Amino acid sequence: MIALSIDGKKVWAKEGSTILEAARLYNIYIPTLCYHPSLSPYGACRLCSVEVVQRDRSRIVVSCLFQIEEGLEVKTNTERIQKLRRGIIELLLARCPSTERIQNLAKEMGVLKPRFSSENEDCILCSLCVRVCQEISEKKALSFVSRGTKREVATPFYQPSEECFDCWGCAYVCPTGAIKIENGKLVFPWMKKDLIFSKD
Amino acid sequence: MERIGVFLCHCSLKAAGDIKVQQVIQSISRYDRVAYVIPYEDMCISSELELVRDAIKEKRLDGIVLTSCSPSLHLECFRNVIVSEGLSTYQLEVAGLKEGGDWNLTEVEATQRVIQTIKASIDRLQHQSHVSPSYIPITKRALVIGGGIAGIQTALDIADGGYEVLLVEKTSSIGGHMIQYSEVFPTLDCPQCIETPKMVECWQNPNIEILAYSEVEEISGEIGNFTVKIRKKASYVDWTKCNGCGLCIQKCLTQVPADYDRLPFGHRKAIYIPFAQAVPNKPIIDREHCGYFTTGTCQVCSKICPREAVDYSQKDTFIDINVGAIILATGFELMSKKEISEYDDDLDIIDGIQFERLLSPGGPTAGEVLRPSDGKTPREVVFISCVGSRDPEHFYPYCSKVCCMYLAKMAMLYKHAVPDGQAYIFYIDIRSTGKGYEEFIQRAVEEDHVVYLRGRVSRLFRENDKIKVYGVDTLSGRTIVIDADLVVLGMAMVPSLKGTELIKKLNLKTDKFGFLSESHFKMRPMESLKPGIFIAGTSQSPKDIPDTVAQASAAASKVLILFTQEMVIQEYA
Amino acid sequence: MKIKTPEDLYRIKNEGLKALYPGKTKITVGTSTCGLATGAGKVLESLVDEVQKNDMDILIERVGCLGFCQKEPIVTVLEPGKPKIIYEQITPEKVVELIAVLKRGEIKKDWVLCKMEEEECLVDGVTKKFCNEEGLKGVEDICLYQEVDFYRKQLKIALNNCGFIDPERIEEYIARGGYFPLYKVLHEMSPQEVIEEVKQSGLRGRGGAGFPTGVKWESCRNAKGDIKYVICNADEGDPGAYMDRSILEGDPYSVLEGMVIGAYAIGAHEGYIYLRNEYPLAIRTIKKSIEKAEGCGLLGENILNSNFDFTVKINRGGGAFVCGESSALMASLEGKVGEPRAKYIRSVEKGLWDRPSNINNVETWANVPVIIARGAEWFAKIGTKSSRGTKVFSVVGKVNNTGLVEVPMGISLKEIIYDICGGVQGNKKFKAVQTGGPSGGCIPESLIHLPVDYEELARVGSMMGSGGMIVMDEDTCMVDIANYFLTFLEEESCGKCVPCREGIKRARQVLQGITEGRGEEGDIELLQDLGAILRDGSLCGLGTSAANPVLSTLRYFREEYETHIRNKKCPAGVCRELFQYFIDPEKCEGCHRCVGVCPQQAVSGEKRQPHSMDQSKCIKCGACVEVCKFGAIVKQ
Repeated sequence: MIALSIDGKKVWAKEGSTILEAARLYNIYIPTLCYHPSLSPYGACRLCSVEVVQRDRSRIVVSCLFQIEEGLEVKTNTERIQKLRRGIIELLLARCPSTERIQNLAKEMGVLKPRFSSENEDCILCSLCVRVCQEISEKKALSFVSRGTKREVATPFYQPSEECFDCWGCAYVCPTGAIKIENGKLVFPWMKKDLIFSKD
Repeated sequence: MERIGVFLCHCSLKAAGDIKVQQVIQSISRYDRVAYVIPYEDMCISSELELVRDAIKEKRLDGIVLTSCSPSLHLECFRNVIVSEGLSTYQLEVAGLKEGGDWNLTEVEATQRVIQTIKASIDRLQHQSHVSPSYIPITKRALVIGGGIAGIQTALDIADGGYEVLLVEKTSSIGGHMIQYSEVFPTLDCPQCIETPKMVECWQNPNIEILAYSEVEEISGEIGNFTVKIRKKASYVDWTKCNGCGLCIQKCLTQVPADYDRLPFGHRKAIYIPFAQAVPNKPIIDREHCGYFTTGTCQVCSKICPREAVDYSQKDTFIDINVGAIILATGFELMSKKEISEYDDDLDIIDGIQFERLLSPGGPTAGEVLRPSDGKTPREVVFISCVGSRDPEHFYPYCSKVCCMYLAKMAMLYKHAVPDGQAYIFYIDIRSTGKGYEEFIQRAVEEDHVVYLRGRVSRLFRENDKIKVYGVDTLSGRTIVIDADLVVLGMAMVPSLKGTELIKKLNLKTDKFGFLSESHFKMRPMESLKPGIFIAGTSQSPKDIPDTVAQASAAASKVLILFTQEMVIQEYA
Repeated sequence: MKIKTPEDLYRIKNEGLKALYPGKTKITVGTSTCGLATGAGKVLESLVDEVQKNDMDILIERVGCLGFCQKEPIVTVLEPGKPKIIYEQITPEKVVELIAVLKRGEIKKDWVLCKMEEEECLVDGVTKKFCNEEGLKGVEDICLYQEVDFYRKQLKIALNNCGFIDPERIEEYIARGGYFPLYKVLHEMSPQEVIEEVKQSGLRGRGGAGFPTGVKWESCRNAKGDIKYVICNADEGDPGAYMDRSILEGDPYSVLEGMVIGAYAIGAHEGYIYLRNEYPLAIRTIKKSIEKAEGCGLLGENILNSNFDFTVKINRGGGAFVCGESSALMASLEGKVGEPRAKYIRSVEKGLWDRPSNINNVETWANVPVIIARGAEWFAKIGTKSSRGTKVFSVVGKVNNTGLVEVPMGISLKEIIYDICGGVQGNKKFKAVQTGGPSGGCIPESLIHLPVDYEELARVGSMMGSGGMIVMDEDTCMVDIANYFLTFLEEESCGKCVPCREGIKRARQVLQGITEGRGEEGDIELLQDLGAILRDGSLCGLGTSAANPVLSTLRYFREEYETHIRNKKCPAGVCRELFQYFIDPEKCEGCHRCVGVCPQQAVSGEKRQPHSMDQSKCIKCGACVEVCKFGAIVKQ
């Protein structure tokens, strides 16, 4: 067992735990979007960022990936962290203005209207669906394609997958409901876009 | 009958009061059809019964009236005597003089009463005629309700005796509470190690069918011929296809706090097997948390199962079955801490079974003793005996029998785990009556330095990091305040059947605490008041594991006796 | 045949010396990519032709880049008994005359850059004199190599062989002292001693982060695991940076030797060179070098008969800047998508395939053999206290002399830009110098005296980076520069984390708006907020330093931003929406030339009358400005 402090409170957790796991043991709230307890952590949304003090040095790390150390001092809600979280949610709200989960988080953090033009996505590229398909069903039917701002979740060449066996784990873990089930079939955001490749 | 013999038992006459025996003899001798009246010392003495036999022969008696205490105790003996002389059972009548309790009459009144009673018996004898008894065939299958150690032992004994057993358990695995413990007193054996072989034996025994995750819905009928309706609850997994590989559990995306341990450490999945050594080792789905049932968007376990064993459409099924005997081994629960107002509801105030889970190497902390509130190692642990027990004003007047022993054991195991910690036990008495128990207690005191404080605790509450324990040490006459890290309460044992639908359906008598009433408190503690229904384990009264196992085997032997006969002879219509 | 003993090594050295100084006329052509781009390939062909035609006994060799890329193609002529003459800007046509001149035993002085009386071999410490007093007669007016402004203040360590050897001839590398350090390491030093030596030298990673190399090697050595890897990061994604390319094309064996030394110190037996696919010549060169080295027993099993095994494989990149980031590079090497991962678990402990991996930049590896040969103390004397040794910079942009410059750290930016590279082109005013590539920042004139040093550059909001240095003059718009870099980063972001993917995109949108005249009050604050999000929230260095171009230009050129936003004007005349071309009636002679070239017929006017510009038609292509001989068309 390793002892560390989170927001001044002394907590204990097993060696190899992350800060987020230790916090959740004690019901200390750290917001997350791309974290799921049954999947390996990814560190994409950065919402779970916290400040850690190690050897007199303070830095911002993501709590879902940072492993606890003896005597670590963690601060989950400093001004700098709040500002960062608000910034992230503002960026996401600009990307997904009509997504309920994002709207709720934004409201929670006091972000009303983003200062950027609105796009119209539901998917926040959190990779939960990809990780489910890699780690749980192990069918690996889903992956990310393209880079940067063009990044999206898709099957190879946007073709209907021969590997997928409809476990629906992706729809279940999707935090924004971007993956829907209609008439017993999975519907992904990419299916609704115009593509060069045929969809049949 | 023309020639009736009346045998007066002195013991029974004395019990009736100050009886004028000569007056009785005179009065009865003059009564119609009485051919012979004689007093005896004690009818229960076999030599006296021999004299009865001789009298029948000599006096050519064709009807017998005996005075006795309760017929139910001695009827068989009397019958055997007259039958051996060629008479039939209907030619015997017993005048019970000890029935109805204390008569509280004067000498004259009592004597009259006795004479009346005997005359009534003589009269009655005239009217008795031969009645053919009914012979009910016995279905040689037993039903054991409850899959704890009592149920397991009973089932094994009946099965080894050669008969079929149906073992019904409401949770998804047999094992009961015993398998939750860390080490058992006084041997400090590992209960998993001693119970799991029996559990596996149950599974493998061709005579035993385990119906886990099932409950008894209805019972009707009588000894030798009960009809039982059992509900097999939907587990949403086809156990005939499932091979226990555990892939579904591994892949399930929904984590749920582990209710098996009732501790804030660890979790289970929505599809789960309650513990590693479960028998049957098959999972069930918790509908309340399962993603499929709550949101309709998750089928991972169903798709991932290599045997396609998951079936969300499964429904409860019912089976009707005939059994010849029923054994109730429904066990106990610990009284809820919430009922005690002196103790706050706090994470660090736990009961014995929660502490067992902390100590257990298979538990959520792998045997590390940690405080539920913050995961720290507790350095000061207080154990409190008799919480809810021996408390007629507020809760239960009875003693739960095992708490003195298990609290001592837990204190010892705590000291083994945390050698520089301090264990205190607040007690009223130390009840260590079993074999090796007293030595065990001494070991706790002398080797493990458990501190015993004779006195009660008046109040427990949290102050910052600690639980303040306000108690008293009557041997020194001082009040004690302990700043405890963890408090373990020796909660009263209450029967599981209490307040359930099943107890109403069984229509069995229980005492006011819900413990099943036995046919005779002293002489037949493993038989209920209904013939054919037997009882074993803590469903009857608080007891430890050796006694439970012994009683379970006793109940099994009763069933086996029943099953060695072909028929149940019912004499009275 | 395999080199096993020092005698073998000396034998090859002698062969190499004979190749380097053949005792007959030798002509070299700099045929690295920079040379080839200016026509060195054709020059070489022409040389071969001419020599053949003239039936001359001349050895012609290809060599790497001497660094003075402005003057490419560079041809050197070494005649026995004479100093080496270095010719600049030779064309195939000039070759004909050059050979003719040579045949006559003369020198074409008009085309000469400089002469070399002797050549110092850095690794050996040996100086080779080309000629005696006799040979120096007649060339006194030609300046020495050391006197050329471009070379005077340079000290070549990583580039010490570039331009002096045929990169494919291992014997020439060995002749200049190569592989003797490796022999010393494998036979006379323990791994710990090697690490100590590198630590004492103060060598810091030349790829950008500047982490002490010896410390990194030590951590990797101490990490648990039997299988370890050394990796060479040759992804070089910064636009305009080509230091690593030149080293790989001009002196590949130095990298290989460095890697074997590092592998020995760490205890690794496998290595990878991650090379960007856009460097085909470098790929070919390094492949051949690996084959040759294996053939000589300098790579592979039982290197130099020391029982130490080390093999190296080449992995080509797929066109992603982000794969220069070490964790993304390792992901790409593993065959996964090139995405970085959190660095809380360091790659020296769990890197490639979760095994201890040590990754260093090409330039870092190239420094290693020299450090072993000359010693840590020698190296540590060069540079500043915290930044020891030299650094190769690729100086490009609005300077007179672009090229590769290797200087001791601590030299000022001013010296590099003005003394070495000849100052700003066209006598324009210096505005800023951008260091460190897209992750770096712009440094204004007021800070130009700054010494080149890891900490100093970071202090002012820039960074050393891999060594790119872009010089900007008054005609550069700083907002446009920030927009350019952010556009680059937006394209190259891997897209995994929200701050980088969304943040850079939005920052670029704001900057674009500013350059197009749509800037609003609050945009600067918005950019600063986005900068904070990028710095605090990004997963990898691409994101955390993405704000640097914006924040550093804001810091030093804020008025320029404000002019764009408030006045809707671009003072440098770059942002098309924000300036106009105005025909000065005082200067216009009405020659009508501009009318002829304007694609939009925006210019009109009577001949010999001042012309006028129709702003609604003008697309700011600038064609009219180029043809106007009177300078009558100005930006407003």
